[in-house]
Amino acid sequence: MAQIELLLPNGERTGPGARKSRALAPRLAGLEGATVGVFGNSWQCMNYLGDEFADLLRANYGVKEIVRYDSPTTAALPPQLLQDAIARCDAAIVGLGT
Amino acid sequence: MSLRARVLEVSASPGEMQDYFEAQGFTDGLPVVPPTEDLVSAMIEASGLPGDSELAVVAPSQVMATVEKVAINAVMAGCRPSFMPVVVAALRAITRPEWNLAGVQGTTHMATPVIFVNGPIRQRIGINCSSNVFGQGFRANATIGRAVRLVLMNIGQGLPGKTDMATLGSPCKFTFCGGENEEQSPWDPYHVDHGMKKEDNTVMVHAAEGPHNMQDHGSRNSDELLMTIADTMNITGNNNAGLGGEIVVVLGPEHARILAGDGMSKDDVRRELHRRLRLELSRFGSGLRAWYRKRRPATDVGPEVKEIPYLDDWKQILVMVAGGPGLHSLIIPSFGGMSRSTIERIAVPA
Repeated sequence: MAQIELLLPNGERTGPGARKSRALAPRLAGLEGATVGVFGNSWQCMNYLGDEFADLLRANYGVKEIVRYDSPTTAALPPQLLQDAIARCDAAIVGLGT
Repeated sequence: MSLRARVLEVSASPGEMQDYFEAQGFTDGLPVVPPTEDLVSAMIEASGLPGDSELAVVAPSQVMATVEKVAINAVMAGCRPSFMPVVVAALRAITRPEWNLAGVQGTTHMATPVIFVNGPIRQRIGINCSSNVFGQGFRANATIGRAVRLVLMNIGQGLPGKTDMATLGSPCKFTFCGGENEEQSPWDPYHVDHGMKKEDNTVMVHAAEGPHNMQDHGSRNSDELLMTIADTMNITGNNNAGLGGEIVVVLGPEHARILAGDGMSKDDVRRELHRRLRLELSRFGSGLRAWYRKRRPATDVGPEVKEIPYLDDWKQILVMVAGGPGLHSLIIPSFGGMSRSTIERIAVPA
């Protein structure tokens, strides 16, 4: 069957036309000794998940510190909390649509 | 025209092509128009902008939507090139911070953009504003909303069950777009209320729950008609009840004329609905009440308070006039206080 050339509808992070796409943060080599932020969004289920993540990260991955943050329901994190997280944390787990 | 998007080699068989798009997760479930270079080029040209213009970063992927990428999705949705400026304006509207696209994309709620179009562009490109305004049969209404949805999926990566966590979703997530029936409205159009000129073209976008019809074939005065409307709006099981935010009231032209005929302005209608809308707190169970207390300060009151205003401010009731003959209106509740509607001028190329 003949082929046809079509254009990719997805956004592209790299290459032309993607200059201001937000690049992914550099990946960590590992979590040993890291500080990890766990962001809830005031949903109870994320509190439970956050507890589980914290236990697993400490027990299995050698994470040094877990910092818990709570943002308003399905709204952006207040800027000062975000700045605090950027300063303190090496990685983060963020609750979205929980 | 020089295009920058990655080129895909796809089977030219219509069936195989659609299977490919579906397998790649590029569609809303319906077949799409193949985005060929010539169709995409025409769509870009109709925007009046260079293809590499950066329109907005789209959540949750945080990837930049260029005009070219939006044009590809508009072609797939079935848009005519003349619809492209409306799609661009709608995208700008929903990526303003107060609209909270990240929240709308990720939520378990069914929220989706409803796009209201004002101005002469409605007639020029064939946006239906009259009978069946939110129904089938009109390419502009059907494909402009669909193009925005495809942008949210393909650029924003709002993917059902992965990042779009809507518990139930809504048929409105396929498309939800209509025009204000300015010609049949007894009042100034919505965009004029917001400081624009009548000849300006605008979109207003609201993070919508599904619409709920309000029929009232009996009331012939504003007092009785507003009773019906206020009572229909006064429900507990939506986001507005516990989380505040805006509700759009779409008045059918015949209902609007009853209200205006009693001397009411649009703002009079909004104030009076706000005054009548009282939320009896006893209608919430203790669990839900406790949940709302944390999220909407107005509900955090002592046992001596039996009721509160349903919405915090009369300006959270937005009034549009749309639809055709018949004594029906509808309400469109919203995602709640986490999102505010936005209005954006449509830049139509000369």
